[in-house]
Amino acid sequence: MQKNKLIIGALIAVVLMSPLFYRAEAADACDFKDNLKELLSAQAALRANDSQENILKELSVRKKIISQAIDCSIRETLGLQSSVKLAEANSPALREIKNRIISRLDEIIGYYQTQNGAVRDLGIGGSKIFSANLKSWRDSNYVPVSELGNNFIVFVKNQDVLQTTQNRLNQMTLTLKTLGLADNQKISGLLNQAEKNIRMANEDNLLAEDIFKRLAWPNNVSDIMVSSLQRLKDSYQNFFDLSKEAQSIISNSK
Amino acid sequence: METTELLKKLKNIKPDTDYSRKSRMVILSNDLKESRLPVLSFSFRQIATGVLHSGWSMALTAVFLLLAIGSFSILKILTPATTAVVDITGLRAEAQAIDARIELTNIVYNPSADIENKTSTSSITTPNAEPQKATARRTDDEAQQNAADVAGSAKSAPEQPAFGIDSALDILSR
Repeated sequence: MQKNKLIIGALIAVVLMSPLFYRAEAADACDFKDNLKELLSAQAALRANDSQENILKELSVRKKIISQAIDCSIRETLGLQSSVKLAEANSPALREIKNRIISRLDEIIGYYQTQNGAVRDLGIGGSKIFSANLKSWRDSNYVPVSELGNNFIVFVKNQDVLQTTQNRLNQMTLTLKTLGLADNQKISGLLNQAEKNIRMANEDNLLAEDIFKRLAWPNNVSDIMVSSLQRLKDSYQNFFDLSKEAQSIISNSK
Repeated sequence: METTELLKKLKNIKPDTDYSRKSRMVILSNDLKESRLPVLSFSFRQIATGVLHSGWSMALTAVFLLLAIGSFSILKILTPATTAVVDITGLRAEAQAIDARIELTNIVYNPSADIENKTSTSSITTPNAEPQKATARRTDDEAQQNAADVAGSAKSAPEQPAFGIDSALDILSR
């Protein structure tokens, strides 16, 4: 019996720790439509009759929505934090950035939790100020870390694309040398172009990494990441051209 | 006549016994050396030479084998079927994977857009869907899967709740 309880407990813990759980829960917990409808209805009732009961009703709905907003914010932050934790940072520099983002998200969760305690004492006017302040705080604190965190996850994943492209260049260079085609003017030109594209992609990648290191915001890190990827894509165009050229030389030599 | 007698006397000349004995010993010892040394040198030399010869043979065999294999692979590379300067399918898959990453980077969660929009929640669905998947995707299937994931993420965006945290807080602050 005790063992079963332990297994069930462990299963619940696993589910709670799963980012999928947070996403699904966040999606549910973060839909304010019904509660906002209820607020509109309470406000309409209060406009029609400013009774104590209607005042309390609106206040109650307001507090409910604020609590929901805080709860949703915590879930949202936990979900992002889980995803950042899952990002496979393969270098010490990336691991350091990852830890800093995780730490900042911890601070954000801590802030939301302290705000939860203040909701109980709010009046209608206070709830308006509280909501405006919370929104403003999110804009200047959560939004930057969230944007950096999400971009960082993609950035980390892009590292293996860079490596794959570099490996492909090395493989092609070696093969072309083996075939004695590396000295061909057109082939060597294309190889140089591919090398240049990969070098520029790496430079963009370093620029992006620097933005993450500084946790700089606002930033153009998305544009830089896209630029880096675009350069890699250009290098693949060079690879296709190389392939075509090599094929043509080989078939002409027969 | 004197000459004849002289020749007869010469016929009777014999070597000194001692000289004769020493000479015999020298000759015999030389014979022994000659008969023994070749036997000894034969065994050592034969072994050393045998090893050397077999070593060289093995090395030469290896070189011929390498040449044979090398020429085989070069021939294989040279055939139009492989044209393996590049594996076109692999190249295409990798290029598609990059396209998918570009799309993903472009659609990654942008809270600023959400603030401007004010109608949708600050969703965590789109960016988080991708990072949970395995990292390295180098094969065709993986690249196609990657592209499909991105498409899936993009499609999932409209399903987000219409009123999110920031929209709710905006309404509450009025």
